[in-house]
Amino acid sequence: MRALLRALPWLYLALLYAFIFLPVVVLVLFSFQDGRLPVPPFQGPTLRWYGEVLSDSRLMAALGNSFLVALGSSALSVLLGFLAACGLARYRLPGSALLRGVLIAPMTVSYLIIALGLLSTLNAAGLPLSLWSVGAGHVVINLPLCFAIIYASMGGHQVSMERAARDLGAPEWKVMWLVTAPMLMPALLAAFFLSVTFSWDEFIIAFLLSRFDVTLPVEIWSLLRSGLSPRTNAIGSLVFLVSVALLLVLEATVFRKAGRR
Amino acid sequence: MTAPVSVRGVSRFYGEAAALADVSLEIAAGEFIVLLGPSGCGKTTLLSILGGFVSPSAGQVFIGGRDMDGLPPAKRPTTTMFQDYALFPHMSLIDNVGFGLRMRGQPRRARDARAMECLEMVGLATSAKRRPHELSGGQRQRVALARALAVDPDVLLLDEPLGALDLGLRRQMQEELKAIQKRVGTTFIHVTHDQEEAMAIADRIVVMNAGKVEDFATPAEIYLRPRSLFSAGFMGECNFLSARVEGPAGQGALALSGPAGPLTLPEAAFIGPAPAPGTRVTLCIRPEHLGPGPGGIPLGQGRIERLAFLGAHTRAVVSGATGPLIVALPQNSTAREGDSIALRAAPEALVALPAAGD
Amino acid sequence: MSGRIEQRERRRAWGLVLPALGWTGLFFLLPFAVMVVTSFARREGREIVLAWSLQNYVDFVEKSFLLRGLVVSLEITALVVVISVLLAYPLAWIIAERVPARWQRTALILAVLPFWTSYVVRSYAWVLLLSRNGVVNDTLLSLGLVSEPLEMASTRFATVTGFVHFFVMLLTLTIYANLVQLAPNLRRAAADLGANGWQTFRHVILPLTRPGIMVGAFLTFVLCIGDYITPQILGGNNELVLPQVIMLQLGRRADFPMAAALSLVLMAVVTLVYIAVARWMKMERT
Repeated sequence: MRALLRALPWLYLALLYAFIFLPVVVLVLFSFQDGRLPVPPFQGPTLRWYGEVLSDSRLMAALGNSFLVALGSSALSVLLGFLAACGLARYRLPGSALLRGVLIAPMTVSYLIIALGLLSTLNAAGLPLSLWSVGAGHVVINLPLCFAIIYASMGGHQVSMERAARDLGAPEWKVMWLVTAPMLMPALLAAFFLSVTFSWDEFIIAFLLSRFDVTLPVEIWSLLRSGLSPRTNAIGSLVFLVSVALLLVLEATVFRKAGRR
Repeated sequence: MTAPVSVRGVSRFYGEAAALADVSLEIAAGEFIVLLGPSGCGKTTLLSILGGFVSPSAGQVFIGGRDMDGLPPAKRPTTTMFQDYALFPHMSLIDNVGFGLRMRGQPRRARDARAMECLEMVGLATSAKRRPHELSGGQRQRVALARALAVDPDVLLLDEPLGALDLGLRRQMQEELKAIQKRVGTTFIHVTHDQEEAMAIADRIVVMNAGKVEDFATPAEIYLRPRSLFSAGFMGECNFLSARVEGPAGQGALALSGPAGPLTLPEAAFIGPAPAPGTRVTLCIRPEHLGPGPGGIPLGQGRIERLAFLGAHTRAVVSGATGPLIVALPQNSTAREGDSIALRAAPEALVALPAAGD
Repeated sequence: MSGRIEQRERRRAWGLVLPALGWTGLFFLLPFAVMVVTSFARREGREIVLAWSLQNYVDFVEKSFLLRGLVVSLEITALVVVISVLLAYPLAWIIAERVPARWQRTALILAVLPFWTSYVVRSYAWVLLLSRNGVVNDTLLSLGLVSEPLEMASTRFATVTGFVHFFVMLLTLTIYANLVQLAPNLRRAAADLGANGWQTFRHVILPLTRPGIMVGAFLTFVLCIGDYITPQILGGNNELVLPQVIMLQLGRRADFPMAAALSLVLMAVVTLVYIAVARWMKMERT
């Protein structure tokens, strides 16, 4: 009885891990399915579906688009968030609480609503949908995040270093570029990579605001309409692999370093 | 390089409160000036105004004869050594020290050479490639000094740079600061609340309180002939006795009625013109100028309440007719607690100031 | 009052804040205003006419399939929040209390690793598992637990499972963060005063982590009720949640005004819950 009680937590742990990993395991396993359907029984491994995915020009184009949008919108979000954080953390502005509130506000609104609003506005203005509109939408959702992360990491201890740089003759943009930004590097990187992850995986804005050039989640979505296929498993597994690799690199560099300091 | 600094009628208000009220100072080129006062006295505000981080609400600042109005820190011939050193953590020492020259567009070779020269001056040339976090507090402080001096400022502003160091290191750094200042000849303006530090390094001390300048003179003058009660009290232990001016006593002396009976003081003991009869004054007597004699102005008898041997002298708390007095007895004194001693003040070291409230 | 230096600094600060503010204004506040205005418009044929009427909102209350969307959304979200918290709390607690300190980081990273699959792909993986001839049915049949394959795809069960899978990971993270920041001495003090394991948990640990649970639950609520993908892929078209209804207005009927009105209803619900949670948190603190 006591032994059972002691084992209970480990049993629960194992069960939950199984629940959490079940979809991923099935996804990856049946991406190697030598058959037309990704369901049991498993019919021996093949790399055929990976070959098909990698030679599918539409998927690869979508992959490229996703990278472009993710990197571009994240870079812009970090830049805008960094500048705003400098302005609001370093100087006293009238109504700064209100300004912060406005900058954070998009975080509290569902992506669907942000996408709808942008869609109506672009329609009303007669502007065409493109990767640019998707990128603009992704900056809207990532800017609050970047601003919040960077603003929170701007402590008072950097203020005197910025004063020192100014005192030694640095113009304002050089103070930010040579002193503030390098000191905030962990926060800037965290904000950037988090933004990349969100943008990379975002569906509804990309779905509603794009027309001919689409991002990867939208392309995968249209694959789903044709039913279950090991091809979808393969592309899903590839995306997972890339994300996990990115995560491990981050863990080994940025966060480990930040934790040690 | 070096330059004189002229502060003319500078005030700074935060809302209704005045952090600085009508401060004027004339500082000669190459002087080592210490701004001394308790926290909140306005000394750091004054330093920030000189450095260009805060603009004055009224008044003007001239450095080397140039009006500094509206000039940002970068455009002023001043550099500041900050309280927390403010070294750039992501740069090596040589890059830290060379930063100012880099901002002035100097090529790497030239600025590295100059930075090395400055690091050498503070004895850290061998650590040039290290990062600030690898250094001890004293070493960081030296790097901050080297960095501020590398751009060859006319005036160096030091914002309590020794505050974070322990006592022994602080004394040693005081010596070094003084020596380096002599060598480079730059005007140093140094903020501290430590009276001993001020006396150890300053050519002249500015004693500040509540946004005003209380005194501005050499350490010896301020100690021996303070111009205000605050200044007298802040510069070290001091006994204050109240007295009343009775009238002239001939030979350039004045008769007073003191707490222990009548006494006569030379006119030179009064700061400013000799006061009219009937004026209340406060006599300031340093503990080492008070003792059993022989000679001096008699201040009655007292009983030794407590004794403490402090090395250079023995500090005695004596209760007299005027309440407790602090007396510095010589090292070899044989007095014991409970003894009764005569109290006499050395006339040449006695200062009479207008009584508080006048 | 403030001198030239301060004035210059203020101008500079505005210069720094303005780009971000401009972006938020142009691509968030303006679209939001456009949407509010649109919600008072009417679709007439293929034209959208600004009528300043409340008809869309009246329709929402009167047409049962629209109101039904909100009800379904609330039901599913409530289920998801409760189940996710109940599953995630023990997991976070075991990782924080039973797993040795040096393995905790690894255990945590493992627990949230599937987070990094694409959101769309994750829902698809659950379709694989729950489909008529999928892994779950296959296992149940071969174990003899059922004689007929269960119909799990395109049901509320599938939607809730997909959501719970995602939010268990999220909540484990937030609750774990909350648990490890409790001072270890609290536990020692409780034990010292004679509390057993359960009493310590019930009277010390649980009350102290309640705010963290609340924040995590609110996050779950917001993300869950606004999501279109999981219900669409896993729930199918048998019963529609509000976001699906909104997308339906857009797609099949091109009824922008109605979509806008429904979106604002969705936002109003989230705001109401936010106010309730904020008030609860304030009460908890005092």
